[in-house]
Amino acid sequence: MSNEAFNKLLSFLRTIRFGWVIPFILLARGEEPKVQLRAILSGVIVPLLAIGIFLFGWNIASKQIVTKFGTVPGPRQVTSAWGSLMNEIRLEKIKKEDHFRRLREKRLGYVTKYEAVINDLGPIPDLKPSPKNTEALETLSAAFEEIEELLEVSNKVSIAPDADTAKKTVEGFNFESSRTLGATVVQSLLPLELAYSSAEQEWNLAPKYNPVEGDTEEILQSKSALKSSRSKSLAAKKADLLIERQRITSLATDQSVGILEAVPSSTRRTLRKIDANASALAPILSEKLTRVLADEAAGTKYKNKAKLKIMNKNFSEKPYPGKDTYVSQILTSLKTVFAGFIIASLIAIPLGVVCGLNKTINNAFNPLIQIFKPVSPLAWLPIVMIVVGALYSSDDPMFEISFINSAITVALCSLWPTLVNTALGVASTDKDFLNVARVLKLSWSKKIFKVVLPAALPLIFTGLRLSLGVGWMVLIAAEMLAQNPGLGKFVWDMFQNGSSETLSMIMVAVFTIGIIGFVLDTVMLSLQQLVSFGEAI
Amino acid sequence: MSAFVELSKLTKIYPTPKGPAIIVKDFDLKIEKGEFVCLIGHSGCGKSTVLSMIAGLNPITSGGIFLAGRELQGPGPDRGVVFQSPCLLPWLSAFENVILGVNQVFFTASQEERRQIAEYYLSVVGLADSMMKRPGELSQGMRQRVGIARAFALSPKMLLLDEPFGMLDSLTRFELQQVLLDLWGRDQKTALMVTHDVDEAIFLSDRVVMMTNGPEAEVGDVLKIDFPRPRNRKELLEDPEYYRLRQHLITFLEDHAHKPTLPEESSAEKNDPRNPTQDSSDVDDSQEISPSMKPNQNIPVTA
Repeated sequence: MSNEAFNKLLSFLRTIRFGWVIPFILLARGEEPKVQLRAILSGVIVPLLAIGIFLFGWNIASKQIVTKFGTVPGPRQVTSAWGSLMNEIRLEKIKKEDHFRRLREKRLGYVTKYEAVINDLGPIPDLKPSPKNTEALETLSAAFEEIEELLEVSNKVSIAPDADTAKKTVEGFNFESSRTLGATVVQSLLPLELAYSSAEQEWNLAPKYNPVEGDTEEILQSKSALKSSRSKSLAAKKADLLIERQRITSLATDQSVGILEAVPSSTRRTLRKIDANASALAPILSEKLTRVLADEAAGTKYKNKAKLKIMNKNFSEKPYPGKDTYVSQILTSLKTVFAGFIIASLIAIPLGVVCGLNKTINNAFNPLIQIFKPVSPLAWLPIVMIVVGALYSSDDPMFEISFINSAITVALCSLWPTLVNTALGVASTDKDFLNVARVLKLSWSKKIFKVVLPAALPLIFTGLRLSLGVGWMVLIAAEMLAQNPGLGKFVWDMFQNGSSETLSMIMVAVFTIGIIGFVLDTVMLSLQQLVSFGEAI
Repeated sequence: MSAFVELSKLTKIYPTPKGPAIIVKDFDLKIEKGEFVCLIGHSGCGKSTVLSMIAGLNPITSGGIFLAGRELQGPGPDRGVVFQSPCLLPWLSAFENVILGVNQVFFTASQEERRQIAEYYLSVVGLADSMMKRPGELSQGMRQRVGIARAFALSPKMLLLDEPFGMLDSLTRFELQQVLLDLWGRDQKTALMVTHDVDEAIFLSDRVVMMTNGPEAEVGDVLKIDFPRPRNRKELLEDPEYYRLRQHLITFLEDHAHKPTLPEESSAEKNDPRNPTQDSSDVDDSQEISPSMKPNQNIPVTA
């Protein structure tokens, strides 16, 4: 290793707070053993000794205090609590794997059966949907997308808390366009309806299929349908029709919600008629089967895709129902703190730049900053909960509401260090640099991005580092109250449990929180040093 | 016909709690096109203030500055400035530092042409191999080379140099003086340089303007340097005329050391028989010197 690379390594170690390793490395290289030994003594042995004394003192002191949950746990109990937590995680992992293994087996059985059905049908006819049908289908599917949107609107109306909200929802929707669409739907449906009636005639005339043991109702239907009629035209028509009827059926069932108020009555009648005819419709499996068959003309690729889809369906749609493990709680906490931190940074950095550039704006914001800066997360949280509760309501929210509450509370508390430091960094840009910008007559944006921001970067990162520290500290309190399933909730649940392990579990959480906070700070410190260019040159 | 650069009754007054502090008063100077003028004086006499007023970085209290017949308003890339500390942006490489200004001035040129301009000037100052280095990786002398390249690459109407070699050791200073003279010799830019180094002033310039001590600093004396160009330091050092000029400058500076400027001194200097090259026309304008020091002007001022 070259000398330069070696020095780089040493400074990197120092940056990531592993500076205490350096004396060992130097000692191994035989550089000034006496100096290194002294460094080890002060850098490693003394801290270890302090930790030892702390553990010893803790051990003694803990035995003196008796609470309603027994004596306060010493280091040994906390270690064993940690062990039992880890065991739980392992157990849960096995359970989870088992759950999904069983699911997969079930799926596999399903697929095998499905494949058997396809094989049973014999050679697949060369099917190609006629261009006319394809065109009609394309128009239809576009129209249906719109109708689905309409559905959503009417759903919203039906669950709106008051008349005003309902009115607002409806106001935002373009009924005129959906009326036109309704007409399109009727038009596009006509050829399909004709095709359907002729297909139905053929269906009725076709010989019946003999059931085999183990066939489900759906398989039977599709088997008999496909086996009984080997004519190309029927299969093609059915292929198109089954898909569309499926869609139309589901649409029609939604009529009860009162969705189709905006759709002209003629369309409604058509849909109802189709619905009545589609009562014999085979459900999901038969739909999939026909679709596969229709596409089989192009090859077996689609079949495999459909198989994969069925395989994956259960994994993607149904989340594992087991309980949260300690690891997943830590991950939730990290996710929340980063969400809050990112929100805070997105607000604080631009605002800080503006404040740093303009003294008047800075003066305007300063009192607000000074007042809001010392506010505790516990004061923010109720406000956030009420406001978010009023603004963010959805049946299928993208984020849990407790997650949003915690993240916004974190953002509100961790905003300030970044804001203040960014403003300071921008305001204290070296006058020489600004002179360069003035002499070169740099444009405003060039001045900001080429001169001011790079110059302020070290201070901005100092602010970000402080912000992340504050955010992590605040998060635990926020999670505790907002019931966000993270470390805060873990502590709260343990406190509510009131078992003999309560205290030791909470202490495990305390150490976890401390260590993660330390790691986060180290990461930010390294980033900060990465963007610092040292003194102005 | 008026001169290429004309400073007319240039005055700088800073308001202070004790009343206005007059740093520079009625500073008059004309510079011909292609002329290299050095401004010399004791530190704190206001010579850097004059320069930064020409650069547009320091607002003028009264008077005017005309460049090629037009009055200057604010800073601009038509005046290339070489700062005492090179003032390079430490997060940009030497090349990026130069191209930043080139992009600004030659915005109509193609990217390739702009790159060539920046690379040309960097290689002329001897940094062909270090273009992609950041200022932190360059020595003081190399950084100032970048600063010089940046100023020349703007192809300004005028060059302003604010003690550009003040922070360098004397060997590096000699090298960079040569680099500067070479570059200046190529395109004969009108240049005004602030310095307090007598040898540097004689070696580089066509005229040396001596400033009286502040407050109320103004042109004290002007010395014409008639050595032929291109100049050779060794030949210059063997010329007795060099020592005569040097003596003249040092006498002026010594006479003004730590003393308030009085009108008698200036006129005595002017009539000095040892000074045949003196250009009296320039000094005439600066004869209206206030007879005495105002009481509120004894505050320490830095130029």
